Amino acid sequence: MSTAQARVRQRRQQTEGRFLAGLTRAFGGAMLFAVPTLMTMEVWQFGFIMDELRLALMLALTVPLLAGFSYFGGFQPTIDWREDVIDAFVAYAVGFVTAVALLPLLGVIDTRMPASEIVGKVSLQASICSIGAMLARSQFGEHPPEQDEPDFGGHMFIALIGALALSLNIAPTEEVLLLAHMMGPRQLVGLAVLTLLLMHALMYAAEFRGQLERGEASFWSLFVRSTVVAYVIALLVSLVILWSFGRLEGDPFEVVLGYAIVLGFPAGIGAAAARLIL
Amino acid sequence: VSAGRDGPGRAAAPRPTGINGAGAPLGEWLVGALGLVLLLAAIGFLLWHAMQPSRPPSIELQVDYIAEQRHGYMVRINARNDGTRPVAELQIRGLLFNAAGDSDGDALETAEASLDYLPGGSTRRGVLLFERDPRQHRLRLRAVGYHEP
Repeated sequence: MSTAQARVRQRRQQTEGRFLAGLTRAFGGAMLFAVPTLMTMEVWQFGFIMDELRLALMLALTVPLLAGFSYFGGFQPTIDWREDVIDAFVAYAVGFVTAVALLPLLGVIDTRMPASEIVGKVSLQASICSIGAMLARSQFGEHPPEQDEPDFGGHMFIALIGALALSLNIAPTEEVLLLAHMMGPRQLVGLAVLTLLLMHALMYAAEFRGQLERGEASFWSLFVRSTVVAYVIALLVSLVILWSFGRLEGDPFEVVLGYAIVLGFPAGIGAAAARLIL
Repeated sequence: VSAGRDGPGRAAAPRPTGINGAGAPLGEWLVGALGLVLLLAAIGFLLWHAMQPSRPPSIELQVDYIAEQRHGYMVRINARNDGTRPVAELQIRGLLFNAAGDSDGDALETAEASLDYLPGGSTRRGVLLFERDPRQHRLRLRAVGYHEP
C-alpha cells in the first residue's frame, strides 16, 4: 500500500472517529436539553392534544432550523451546505432515538396506547431533543479556532435559536397562561421593560466579546438595531410556539399579548444570551 | 454533529468538497438517512391521521372486574374513547340499583372517579369503590362529563 493511500485511509478513520465522538456528544446534548421536557406532564399530553397538522408543521420546520443552526452555530459559513442538512437529519435521528429510548422507560408510552398517541408523544419530544443534540456541539465546547462573525441575519438567526432553546421548555406548562392572568397590565409592561433591559445588557456583553464594532456602537444604535429586533424575534417565537400548542384559541388580543410578554421573558433572555452561550 | 475541540476542527481540516457532500463520513450519512426516514415517517403518519374522518369523543365504560376488599368492593373500570379527539377530566359515575329503581334518585349507592385525560382511541383504567356488593345489585356506569382540552 502506498503512503498516499495509507494517509487517505488514516484520515478517513479519524473522520469516522470524530463522527462517533460527535454522536455521543449529541446524545448528551439531547438529554441535557430535553430532560426537563421529557419529564414534564404537559409535554406528554400535547403529544395527543395537539392538532396533528400543527405538529407535522413543527416537525417539518425542525429541519431548516437545525440546518440553519448547524450553519451559523460555530462553523464557517464556507463549508458545504449539504453537510449542514446531513447534520440536521443526524440531530433529528439522535433526538428520535433519545425519545424512543426514554419515554417507554419513564412509562410515558406503552404498547397499549393507540399509534397516534405514541407517534404524537415521540415526535414532539424528538423535535425538542434534536435541538439539544444540535446545541451539544456549541454547549460542549466546539468552536473552530478561527470563526467568521456572522452577519446581521446570522446574529438574528442565532437569537431565534436562543429564544427557542429557553422558551420551549416553559411554553407547554400551564404557568405561562396562569402568570399572564395573575399579572395586571402594569406588571406586564414592567416585565417587558425588564426583559428589554436584561437583553440589552447581555447583547452589549456579547457585542463586546464578539469585537463587532467595539467602541463604535452607541447605546441607542445597539439598542434599536440589536436588542429591539431580538425582542421582537423572541415575542414572535413565543407566539408561534403558543399557537402550535393551541394555547391562543378563543382569547382576545390583549390576553394573547400578555401570554407573549410572559413567555417572551425567557425567550428574550435566551435570544440575547445566545451569542454568549452558543 | 461532528469534530471535537481536541481533534482537528472541521474548519482546520480541509475536506474534499466533491459532489454529494463527499466530505461527510459514511456513518454521518447513514445516521442522517435514518433521521430523514424517521422524520418523513412521523410527518407522513401525522398527515395521514389528520386526514382520517374525525369523530367526536365517545366514551365507552366497561367493568373489568369486581373484587371484595376489606372495607367494601372495588369495581375496576375500562374507559375507552371511541372518538378521535381527546377528552380531559372525564367524570365517571357508578350507580347501584335494586331491581326496581332506574333513575338517579333511586340509586342505593353512587361512586365517582375521574380520569385526567383520555386520548382518542385509547383506554384508561379507573376504580369505583362501593360499600355494597355490586354483584348483588344492578350496576350502571355513566360518563357524566369532561372538557375538551
